[in-house]
Amino acid sequence: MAESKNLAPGLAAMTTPWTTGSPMAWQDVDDEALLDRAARGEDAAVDAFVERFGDRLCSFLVRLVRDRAWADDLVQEVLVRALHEAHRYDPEWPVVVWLFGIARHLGLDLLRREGGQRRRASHLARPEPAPAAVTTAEHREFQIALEAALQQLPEEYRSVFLLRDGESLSYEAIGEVLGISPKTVSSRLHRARTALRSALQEHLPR
Amino acid sequence: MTKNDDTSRSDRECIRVRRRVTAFVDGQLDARERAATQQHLRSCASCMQEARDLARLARATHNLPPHRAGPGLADRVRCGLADRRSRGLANLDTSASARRGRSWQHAFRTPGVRAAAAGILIAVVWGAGFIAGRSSEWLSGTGTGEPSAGATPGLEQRLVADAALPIVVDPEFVTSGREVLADLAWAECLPAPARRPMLASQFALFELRERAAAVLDRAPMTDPTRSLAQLVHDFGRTLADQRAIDWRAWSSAARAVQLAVPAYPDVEARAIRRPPGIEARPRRAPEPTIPHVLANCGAELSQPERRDLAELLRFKQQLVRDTLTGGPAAAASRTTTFLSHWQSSSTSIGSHSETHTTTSFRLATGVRAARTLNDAGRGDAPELVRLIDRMARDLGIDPTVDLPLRR
Repeated sequence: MAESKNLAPGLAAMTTPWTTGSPMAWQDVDDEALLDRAARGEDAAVDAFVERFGDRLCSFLVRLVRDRAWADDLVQEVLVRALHEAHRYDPEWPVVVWLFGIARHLGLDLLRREGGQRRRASHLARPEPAPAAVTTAEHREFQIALEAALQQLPEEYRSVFLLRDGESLSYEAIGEVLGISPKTVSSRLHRARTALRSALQEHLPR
Repeated sequence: MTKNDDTSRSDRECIRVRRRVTAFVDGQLDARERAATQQHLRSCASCMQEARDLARLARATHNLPPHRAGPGLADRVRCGLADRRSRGLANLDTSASARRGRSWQHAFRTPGVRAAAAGILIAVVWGAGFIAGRSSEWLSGTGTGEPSAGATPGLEQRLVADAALPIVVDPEFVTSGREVLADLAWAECLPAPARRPMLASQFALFELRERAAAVLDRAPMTDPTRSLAQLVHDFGRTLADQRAIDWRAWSSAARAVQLAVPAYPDVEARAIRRPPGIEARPRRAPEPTIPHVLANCGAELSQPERRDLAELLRFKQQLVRDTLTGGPAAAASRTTTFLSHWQSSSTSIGSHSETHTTTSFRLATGVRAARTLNDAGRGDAPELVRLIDRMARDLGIDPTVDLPLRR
């Protein structure tokens, strides 16, 4: 017994190795490695993961579900699910493709459930203002008109447009997110842009 | 060739090009398509205008202004993650389930989650299988793990072999299954008079596994809510009819079923309901969770014991997290760190008047640690099992804890 007691490191010493973590430059860690570390429960990695993808997911989801409060809930759910189910991630595609796939799936599911009853375009938060240097009254007006026009697009066109013009994903990546072929992506994007062009004709910068 | 033919060919060409012009503007065409499109645009003013308009729109809409995520997102994600990972351990009260059910409901209609629900159910059944296997040993008094004389020949071996198959589809629920087993292992640590014979009908168990698998096979096509609820409920009734299960075993299974509540709200109302014949929880029955002991046995515990139990709890949580995220190797690493403390406090049990409950918890935690080490193929597992056996004997507790570790 005495021998065993000598082995005892004590309570304080016990906690230290369980909670180690060293500060590091997360911008140098690629998406995949960051996902891996965050999924392993490294608190700093979770922070960095949220920092890296939170706003992007929020931007997509606000415009997809057209409700700021819903989007906030969904962003949290997407990130939790991504980290919790990181073992399902297919490294053939960038992490962001996987994240947007989850986001779109959850967003559509919510819209289906709510059946559009709580569609509240008026609750849609205004986007962050662009930097002062590029913000003109005309530009601002264009942004407002664009957001309004986006709300009118059917979801299948809106998602394609958001992933292309909001996220600059390739047609192949968008196809992976939405489960459609790159050709279908191209045709939906064309329809989306054609519709937006008509809606924004008078606001388009020359 | 007539003028009409030329016009119609030109129109068809325009339609083809306009279908591609968005991809052209985005630079997503291959070289051949790009060249063909460029050639047409040079000779067709209206298509050229279309391309220019779309390019102008693409420039204007590129990089849509961001919507910033709400404050405290990282904290909320961490909490959500911890919640998701510890759900197997949590004492889920109905209101909490209802809240989660509402806000998470949308997340649980996917095939992946249905698969996870399959995992839960199988974990429940697996846990019950553990009861069955263990209880036959108690009843036969052999403690060797051999099938008892009354069991259907070959069936128990089949169940044991079946349990070893990787049928649990989601790693989370492997852990959930282990949690159920950990609780059951704890129940085994109870002193002999407190133990209740828990002879499950092995045939019913086997049947349930088969039928659950069949229901879940159909899950992508049909909502399995009702079928699963009915199965679990029937299972409880079968066991109750045979007086083969007590409240503790039932509640362990029911807690695992509760994990499925957000996915299948109907399961909650029907499966968690205590089947007739299973007696209500005895008022003074010890609880299988450390926080409960800490909260309710405060007067019985000395300060060092309380600290010790809190440490056990923290270890248990960390271990679950490690198992989930890092697999057996990570869990084994944490276990090794933990064990020196565990051993030193456990070997001093006889030196003060520790309650039987805390001793049982300590043993159950040791069993868990041993299982973790064993899973990781670590050589120190047998040593730990020997220690557990010695402790159990010293304390007058039946040392038939965690027999699967004995080779």
